[in-house]
Amino acid sequence: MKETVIYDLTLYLYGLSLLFQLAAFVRRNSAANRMGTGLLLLVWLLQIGTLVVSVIKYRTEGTYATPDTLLFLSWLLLTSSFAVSRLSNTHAFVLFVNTAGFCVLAAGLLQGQTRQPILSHWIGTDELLLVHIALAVAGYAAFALGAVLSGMYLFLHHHLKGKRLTQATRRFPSLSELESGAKKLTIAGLPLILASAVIGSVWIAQSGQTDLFRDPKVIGSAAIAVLYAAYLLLYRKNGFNGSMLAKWNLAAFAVVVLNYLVAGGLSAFHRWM
Amino acid sequence: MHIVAIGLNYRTAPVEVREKFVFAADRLPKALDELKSRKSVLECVVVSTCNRTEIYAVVDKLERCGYYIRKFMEDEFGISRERFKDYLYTLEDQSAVNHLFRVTSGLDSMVLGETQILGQVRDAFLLAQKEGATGTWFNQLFKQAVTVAKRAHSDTSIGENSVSVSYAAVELGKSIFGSYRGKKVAIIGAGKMSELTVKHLRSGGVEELYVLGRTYDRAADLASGFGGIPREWNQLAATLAECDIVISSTSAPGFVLTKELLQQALVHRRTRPLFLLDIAVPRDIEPAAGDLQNVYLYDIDDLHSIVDSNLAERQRESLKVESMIAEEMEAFEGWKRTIGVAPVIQALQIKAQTIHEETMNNLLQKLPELDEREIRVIRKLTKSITNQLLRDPILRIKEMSAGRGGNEALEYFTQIFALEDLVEEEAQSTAEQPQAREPEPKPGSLALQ
Repeated sequence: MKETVIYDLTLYLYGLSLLFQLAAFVRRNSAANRMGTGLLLLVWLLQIGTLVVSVIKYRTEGTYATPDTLLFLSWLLLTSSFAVSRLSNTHAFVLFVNTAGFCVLAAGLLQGQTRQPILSHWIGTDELLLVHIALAVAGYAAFALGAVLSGMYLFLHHHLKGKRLTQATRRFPSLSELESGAKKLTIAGLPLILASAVIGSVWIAQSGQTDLFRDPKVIGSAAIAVLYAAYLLLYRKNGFNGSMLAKWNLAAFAVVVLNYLVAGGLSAFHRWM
Repeated sequence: MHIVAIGLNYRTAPVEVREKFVFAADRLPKALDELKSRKSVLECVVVSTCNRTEIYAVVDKLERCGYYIRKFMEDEFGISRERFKDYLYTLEDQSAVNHLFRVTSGLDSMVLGETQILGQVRDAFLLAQKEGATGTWFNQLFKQAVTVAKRAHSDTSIGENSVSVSYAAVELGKSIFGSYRGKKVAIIGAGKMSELTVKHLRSGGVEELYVLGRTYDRAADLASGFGGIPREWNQLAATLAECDIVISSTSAPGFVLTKELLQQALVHRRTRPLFLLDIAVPRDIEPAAGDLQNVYLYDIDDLHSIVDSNLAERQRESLKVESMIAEEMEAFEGWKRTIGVAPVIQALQIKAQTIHEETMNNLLQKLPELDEREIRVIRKLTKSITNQLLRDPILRIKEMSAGRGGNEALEYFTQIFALEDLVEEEAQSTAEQPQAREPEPKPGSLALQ
């Protein structure tokens, strides 16, 4: 019960901070900016507290709550926004990343806070499970950030082509920075996803349940890795320009979201994300 | 005391007049000293830039100061007052304060929202402060002027977004590339706009510049002006593949760069964007080239449109700045009222002290048999009575003088306690100045413009 209240509080504060950040972005209000940043810091601390409690319960009781992984993803996104906020011209990016972080947290709230025992297969190798989840979530966080940058790239590209410069677009990073950032985040995220997949694959192979390789979630995750690898390869190919690559990145992230929503529901064993 | 601003600027005087009224940097300290020594001037700051020369002064009486300041300018520049009086404007009190805030925030500048003036006003004030030409009023006022200007530039976009065509082009490029370091520029043809744009690009970090002309000699000639490397015309395709920014400004009647030519160049560029600036009339670059992915084509009309939009944006932002200035003016008036209350309170305390002393003297005459201890106790108790009686009125007048109607409240307070003479004495002793060099002007010739 207490956890639900804290989760709700975190979500409300996150939403409130977004409103302040939006006001600061639209009207260049430094007071609103400070308020938004202060609330974000509070949200960040609440998230850390909740995650610590979850990890303790995982280790002591052997239980987990599905939203924990989404909470971790949201925390990673929020932490990234703090990291880049010190750089210039990142206000728009920080706003969008935190919007994504808020949506992820809200998605977790919809799933409910019921704690379930971890599957018997993973008992005894729960540390490995923790590493598998952490690597996967970190990888998806990188992809999410890359998707935000690609979305911003397309927005700015569209406005530059249409010769419609607004106050908002002037506060975006440049096209080169957006494209380069998306690429670097994919380079960072792909090895994490692959490492996570390797741990998962090794566990499946060792458990002898090779039919799990045909699980929808596993197939979906493999497809995601292929899509992002292809994205990086396309950079070296003639005929692909920045906006095409940005669209590819966004399409790949759409598959990530679908994999979570659809394949996750169909999966027999992959219920934490 | 009053604040005045007397001066001329780009609106009231052409450059051939303004240039005669520029204070040389090495002359300013002496000029400030000279100005402060003039009758009626209590504090002064001189702001002298290419677009304005303004004298800000705190004066004791309005009806004399204008004469003395204009006489100072006449003596300083050796030009008869009659010859420049038509170019001068004179602003008093709130108008002068408002003007200072607007000037410092860039609202009165030739280029709306420019930031250079903030530094110039700040430097002028710091110099005057260093020379001892400022006092309580200007130390507060100029601090507020600089603060509101900084707020204006940080909390609004008044100073952002270029209002010159060449710099607008450079800013556009930053939206594409971020930084110009390592970027290559190709110039086709020449013109004033190209030169300005190249100058801004170089200061932005561009190092490699290629110049193409119809003949190599022509290209070499142009390149020497830009500090670039000449290239033969047949290297155009290779240059398009290599460079990131192309500025075209030829006098060719038809298109110099076609969509087909650019399409071929793009094949080798992969994801690298190409920024094309067509500042020629008639246009050098086929408009359909703008449809190519990764090509960002802007002609002269597009750049003017951006500048117009930026100017309109600055105009909108200036309204926010005006409202900040209004708040700051209110704050300054409030501060002035609290300053005004100090001499009144002091006069009241002096009066109370005087009454107390007189009463004690009367008491001692009537009761000479009192011993030291009794005198001390009576003195202490009677002092306590006056202090307690005055405590609430003093607190109340401080509060009331800081708010609206503060001046009236202060006036009634002065009248109720009959402090007019004491306050006048104090004001006169503050206003006493060393003897003025010029004779007192005749009545009737002192009116301000």
